[in-house]
Amino acid sequence: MIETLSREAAIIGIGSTEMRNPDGRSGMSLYMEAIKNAMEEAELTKSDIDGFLVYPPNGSMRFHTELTEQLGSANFGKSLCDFPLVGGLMVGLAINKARSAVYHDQCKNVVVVGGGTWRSSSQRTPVGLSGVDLSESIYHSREPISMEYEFPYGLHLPALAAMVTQRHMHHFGTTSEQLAAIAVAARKHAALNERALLRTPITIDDVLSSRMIADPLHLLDCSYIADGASAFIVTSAERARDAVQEPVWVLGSGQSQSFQHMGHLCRGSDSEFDLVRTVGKIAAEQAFTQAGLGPEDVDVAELNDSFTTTVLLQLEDYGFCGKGEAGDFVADGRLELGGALPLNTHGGLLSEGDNGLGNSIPALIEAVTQLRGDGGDRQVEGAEVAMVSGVSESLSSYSVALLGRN
Amino acid sequence: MAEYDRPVPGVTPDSKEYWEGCRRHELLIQRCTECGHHRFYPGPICQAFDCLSMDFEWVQSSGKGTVYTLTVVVRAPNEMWADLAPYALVLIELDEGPVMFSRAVDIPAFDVKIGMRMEVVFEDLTDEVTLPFFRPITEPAA
Repeated sequence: MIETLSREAAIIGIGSTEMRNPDGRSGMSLYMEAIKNAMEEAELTKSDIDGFLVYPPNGSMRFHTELTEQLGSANFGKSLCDFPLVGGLMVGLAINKARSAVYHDQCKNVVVVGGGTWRSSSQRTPVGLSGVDLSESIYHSREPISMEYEFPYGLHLPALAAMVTQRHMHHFGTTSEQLAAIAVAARKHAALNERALLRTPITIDDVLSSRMIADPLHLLDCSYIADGASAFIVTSAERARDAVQEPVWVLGSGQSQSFQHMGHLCRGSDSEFDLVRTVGKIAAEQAFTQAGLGPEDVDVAELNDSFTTTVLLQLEDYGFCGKGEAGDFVADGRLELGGALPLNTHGGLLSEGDNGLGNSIPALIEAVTQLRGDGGDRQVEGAEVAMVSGVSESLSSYSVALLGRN
Repeated sequence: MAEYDRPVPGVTPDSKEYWEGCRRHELLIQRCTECGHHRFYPGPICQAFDCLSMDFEWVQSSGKGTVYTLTVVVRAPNEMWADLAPYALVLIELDEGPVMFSRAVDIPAFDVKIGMRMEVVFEDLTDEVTLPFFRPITEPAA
C-alpha cells in the first residue's frame, strides 16, 4: 500500500542556479552547479549519491547518462539513473519514484535535477513569442502540440491555455480581472525574492493593459521564460534522521494524466473530466489520502503557474474552492502573504522565472525553504504543510506532492 | 499554385485516408463498425468508453458543427503566421460527436463565439496538402 510511504522519505538538500544565464553557459554546466549546491548543503559526497532522476534540458534520451559520466568514477555504478520526460508535471513523478527507491533500499540518496536554457536558446533563434521560445519545443514530437492536426493552423502554448480559459469564462463567468489577481500576487512575492527576475510590483490594470497574446491571455498572464537549473536530494526516513539540514518530509504524492491533444480533452461525455474539470482532482486526492490531510491543512501552496489559468484550474480541482469558484476565490488578496492561502511565495513561473522543462522544481525548492523556516521576508508564519504541483503545458496532466515540516 | 511557406502536416499510416479525403474536399472520420462510435483524430482503436474494437470504416462527416471553445491569436507563434494574425483558432464539435482543431475563416476573428454554428471549407495549400477550415453558417430555425 502506497499509504505506508507517508513520512518514509525526506528531502535533505536543495540547490539552484540563478534564473539568468548571461554568459550562455551550457545546460550541463547549470545542472552541475545545482547538484553541487544541493550536495554541499546536505554534506554528501559523490559516493553517497546512487540515484539520479534527470530532466534533460534538451529532450535528449542520453543526457542523464552523460550527466553522471561528468561526475566521474565515484558515480560509475548507480542503482537508479532515469529521465522522467514528462514536461511540466515532472516534480510529483520524480518524488514518487525517488521515494520508492529509497524506501525499498534501491538507493541511498536520489538526486532530482531539471531546468534548461529556454531563454538563451530562444535568443539564438529568430523564432519567439513574447520570449516564449517555440523554436525547439514546437518541432519536438513530445510537445503537447500536434504537428499533424494543430500546429499547421498556427497554434502555440499560450493559445492552448487561452482556449481552456475561454471555456472557463463561458461556463463560470470568470473574468480577466480575476485572472490578473493571480499574476499580481505572484509579483508581490517576487519583490521579496532576490532570485526572481521580475520584481517590480504590478496592478490588475497593468496585467490587463499588457499586450494581448491569445485572447483572453495577456503577456502578464504568461510565465516569464528564463534559464537555470535546480536540484533536490531525497533519502529514506532512517537516513534523514542524521541529515545535516532539517529534513522536509514527503507526506503524500499523486499524479494523473489525461490526453495529449485538446480535441480529446474537451469530450466529457464518457467521464467527469473535460477542458475545465481536470484530472488534477485525481492527483490531489491521491496526495491528500496518503497524507491523511485535506485542502484546509495546506499552509502554503507552490503551484505550477505556466499561465494564470493554470492556477485557477488547480485551486478548483484540488479542492481549495468549488468548481467555477476560483475567480472569486483569488480576489481580495487571498493568495498573497498574510492571506488565507499564500501561493507561490517565490513569485512562481510568472515572476521568478520559467526555466523550461524542469520548471516544477523551483516550486519544490520554495516549499522546502518555507518548511525549514528560511523564507526570510516572505516566510509564511508557522508553515507546517506545503503543497507543490507540476502541470503539463497543455493543462492536461498533473502531479501533486504534499510536504511537511520536520 | 502559389508557394505555401507554413508548415504542412505529416501523414502517418493511420491518417493517410483522412488526408486523401481532404484532397478530395471530403471530411472523413472513422466510425467503429462494432459500436458505431465516431472518432477523430484518426487512430487504430475505438475510443468509446468500453469498446476495444479495431474494426472501423471511414465515413463522410456532415462537416457541420459548433464552436466548443476558441482563442484569437494576436501574437503569432513566429513570422510564418505574423501576417495572418489576429486569427481565431477553434475547437469544433462536429454534429457526429468528435471534436476537431481548426481555424475560423470568412469571419473577423473577434466575432467568433462559443456555440456558433460552422461548416467545413477546404483550402488546397499545395498540390499534396489540403487543410479543413471552418466558416460560419446560418441555418434555418429547426
